[in-house]
Amino acid sequence: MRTGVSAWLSTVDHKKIAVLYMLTALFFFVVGGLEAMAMRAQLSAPNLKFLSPETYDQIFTMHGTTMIFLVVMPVLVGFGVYLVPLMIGAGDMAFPRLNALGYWLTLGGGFLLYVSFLAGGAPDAGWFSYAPLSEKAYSPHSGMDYWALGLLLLSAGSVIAAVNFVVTIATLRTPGMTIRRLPLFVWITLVNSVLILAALPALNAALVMLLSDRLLQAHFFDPTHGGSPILWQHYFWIFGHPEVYILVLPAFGMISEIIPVFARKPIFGYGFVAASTLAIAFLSFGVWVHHMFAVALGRVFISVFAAASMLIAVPTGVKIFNWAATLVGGSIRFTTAMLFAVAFLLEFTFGGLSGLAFAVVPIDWQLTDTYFVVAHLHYVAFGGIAFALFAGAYYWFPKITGRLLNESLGRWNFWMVVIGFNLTFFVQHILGLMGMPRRVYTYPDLPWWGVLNLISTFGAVILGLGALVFVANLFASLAFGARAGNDPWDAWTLEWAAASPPPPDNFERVPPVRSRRPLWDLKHPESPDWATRGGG
Amino acid sequence: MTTQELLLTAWDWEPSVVAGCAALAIGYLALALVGRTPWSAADAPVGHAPAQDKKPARGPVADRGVRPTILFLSGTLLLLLALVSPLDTLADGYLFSAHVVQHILLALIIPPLWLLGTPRALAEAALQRPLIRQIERALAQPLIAWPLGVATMILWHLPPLFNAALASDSLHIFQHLSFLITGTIFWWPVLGPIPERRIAPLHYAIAYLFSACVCCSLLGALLTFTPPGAYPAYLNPDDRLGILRLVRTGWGLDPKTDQQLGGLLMWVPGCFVYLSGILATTARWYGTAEQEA
Amino acid sequence: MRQRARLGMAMFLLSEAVFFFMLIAAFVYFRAASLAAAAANLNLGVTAVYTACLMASSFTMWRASATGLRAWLGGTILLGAVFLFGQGSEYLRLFHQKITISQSLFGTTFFTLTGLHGLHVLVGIALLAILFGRRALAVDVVALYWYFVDIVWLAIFAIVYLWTFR
Repeated sequence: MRTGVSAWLSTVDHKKIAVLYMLTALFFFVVGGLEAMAMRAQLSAPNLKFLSPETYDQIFTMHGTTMIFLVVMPVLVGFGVYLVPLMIGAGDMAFPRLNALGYWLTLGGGFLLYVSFLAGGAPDAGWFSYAPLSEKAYSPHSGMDYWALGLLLLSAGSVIAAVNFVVTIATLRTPGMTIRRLPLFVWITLVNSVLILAALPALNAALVMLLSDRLLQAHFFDPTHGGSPILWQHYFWIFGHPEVYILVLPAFGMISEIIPVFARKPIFGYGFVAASTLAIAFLSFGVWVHHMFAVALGRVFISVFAAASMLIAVPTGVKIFNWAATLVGGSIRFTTAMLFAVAFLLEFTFGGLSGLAFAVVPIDWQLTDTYFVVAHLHYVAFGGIAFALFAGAYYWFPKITGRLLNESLGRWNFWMVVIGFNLTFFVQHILGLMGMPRRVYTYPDLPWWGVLNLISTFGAVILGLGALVFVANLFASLAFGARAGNDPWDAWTLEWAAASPPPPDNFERVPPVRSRRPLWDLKHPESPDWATRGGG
Repeated sequence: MTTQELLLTAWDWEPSVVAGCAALAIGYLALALVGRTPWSAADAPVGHAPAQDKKPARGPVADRGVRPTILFLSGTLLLLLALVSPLDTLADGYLFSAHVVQHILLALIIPPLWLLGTPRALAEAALQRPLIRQIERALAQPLIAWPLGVATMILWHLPPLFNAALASDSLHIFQHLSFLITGTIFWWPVLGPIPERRIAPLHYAIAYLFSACVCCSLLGALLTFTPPGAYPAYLNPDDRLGILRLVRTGWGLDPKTDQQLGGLLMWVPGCFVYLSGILATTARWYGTAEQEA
Repeated sequence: MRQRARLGMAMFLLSEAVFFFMLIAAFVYFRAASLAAAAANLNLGVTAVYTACLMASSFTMWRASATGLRAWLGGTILLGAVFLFGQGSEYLRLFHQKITISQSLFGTTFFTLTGLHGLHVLVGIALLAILFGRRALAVDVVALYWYFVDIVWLAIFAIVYLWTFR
């Protein structure tokens, strides 16, 4: 029996692998956050020279790439890998060794991306690396090659995780756990995994083509030999748009678990949340052109995609409605997890609305590539995804570690993050409307630009400190936190029947499953779900 | 001619079409009024309502009151409009995109409406007859219905066949009938009135519809990006109504834009129809109580 | 257990299908510019023969999967190797005409698409060789992969070769 570090390095236990994913994501979150701090420092006043333009380009490229591929993807896979087997009453994932491989590929990809700093410079063409800037002629140093290779490894890790999720959910459910009784987090993970399998290959194809161009002098995106830079944009966004849903759907899953427990009510409209997830997955492939409205593709062409883009807001709206309706009439308990979950509803809705504005082509033409986009994406990615992740952390930390995160520190964490986040990014809407472009290392001293940027930087400092409070809470609670029992929140899904933390094969005995809330049925034998409303 | 004049005058009340639609509508209403086949919830076949479920059976729409009638008649009305309104005039001679709209109606909108409007009891009564039962058994299985529906769509878009249909009236009628018939066959395993004859489990139904959606989208995408002239009749139409200027300049639909639009309509809105089918099937699946304890 | 492995392979092949679709789409996107070079330099007849070998290997794979006999497995490996040999000799012939991945759009799209396919065949042969060495427990899972690789080749053959010479 291995112990200590070597146990962790050779583990195939889904719980340990999940923690590895989460810790890796946490590390890169701090790195990406520092990159953001550097950017905000450089932008805090006009005409600063804290970072050179070349350095700034590398920093913003790495910030975006890191946050998306080394923080959000891994942490979501981590939560999935930890929770899915527990929630379906299984002992592990279907392919434990593949699970481990997925993690190590992810770490490898992160390593490749960051070693670029030492190998002549990090990638610097933005997280979506448009051609021909990304081609050898305009980016001769090897940073772009590291970017492409790193992403290929990361993408392999994601595909592996997705395969594992589908097979696990399809074949390892405990008897009685039918598809219609799945916790929404699991259902959403299933749909999301198929989405990953369909979308990531588009990125892989594009990366292979880019590497061919750069390393073998091929001409896919090289206009001087008949290639097409627009093709890169199409291929990248055919991946890129589904990718944003890949990032947000598991967050939706977490919120769907957390809100009902702290509102003491089953989720309103389970079927609608489930069906709208399918709708989002399918529709996400039909809207990518809205990232390219400014590329002169033809009015008829972009009009159809503009209409589709407006339509895709509907299923997400359905979900928001269902979560809000769950709150109505519930007896709400504002733990830190619930605070973040409710804040998620507000912030993500706001971010969704700013995104909807972009579906209107003339608005997009005015605001594309300005700070309005930066504001929008951070409202959905941070106000949405990151807030859901904070909620998930506070909710499931007790299960993973056996200790509760400190609620007082949690309150500080919450308020600093909320205030800091909104200060940082709300003003960026205004900056965008005023015309400040994104990806600029500095800006001229135009009226209000300096002040608003300074406010944004000030907000970023508060946000950063709030994030540090979170990290401190994690480690302090790990060492000194109050012990949590199996079920500190009086929740209803199977993971709360296991010990905190669970033993290697998770359950001594899996509770019987006859409805969507097996633990409710166990705790309330006089009014179980399966006898009252059919339970699914 | 202005757009308004076009919309008011360019109607082609082809007798066979009008008679056919009238026959469908009257026949349906006759069956309803005569009451030979009941369609209220109270008469739903016994044994299909789950024992525990205290609410009325949430089965297919067909078992509930006036809704099926509205759906069936809407479908028939759409059929009439698709074939006699200015849409038909534009489709036949002037605009590929109009023709695409017409075909989408014929294959993807009208058959689902008809199927959703057919009460279960009526379908079951029809299936008592051995001949009809044999036909249904042969055609309504997914592995037959899917290729029939998808192949019909693809084959008719091959330029030689599409152009031939534009040139010959009888072939054109055959084309429209084939869309209606194979469309109905295609949608039967998904939206048909008899639950036991539908595809189960859910993921097969999703795969059935999604794969068809992909084919439709691929065809549409191909047409969007192909240079105009795949269907030469639209390049230089015979301007019998004198509206060519209205169409080209007034509406901005030159041949290139027109073909692009047609392709896009197949690609995006066409796909949405299949998607709605997927969502309806999923919603229905989540709505039915589970058989297992 | 077998069922899980088969489902896992099927899911993986789903993602591979999208991957090849994207590469084929790039070929089609640049087809107009590459057509002349394709028609002048590709050899339909010879490639058809190697294609037939690959299709035959699907048959032997099916037999191997059904019977578990090493002979069928060996036959599949052999036919796959013949196909790769054919690909290789076509590549050499093209190199002699100075057509490389960087020479033209035809070279770029042709070598990327067929090269990645060939790599997948090579991996398939490696998997089959591993199976050859031990009891053929996972034959039907590898068989799925092999059929997939063959189907992708059919699509490539149709679009790159047949469509060029229509």
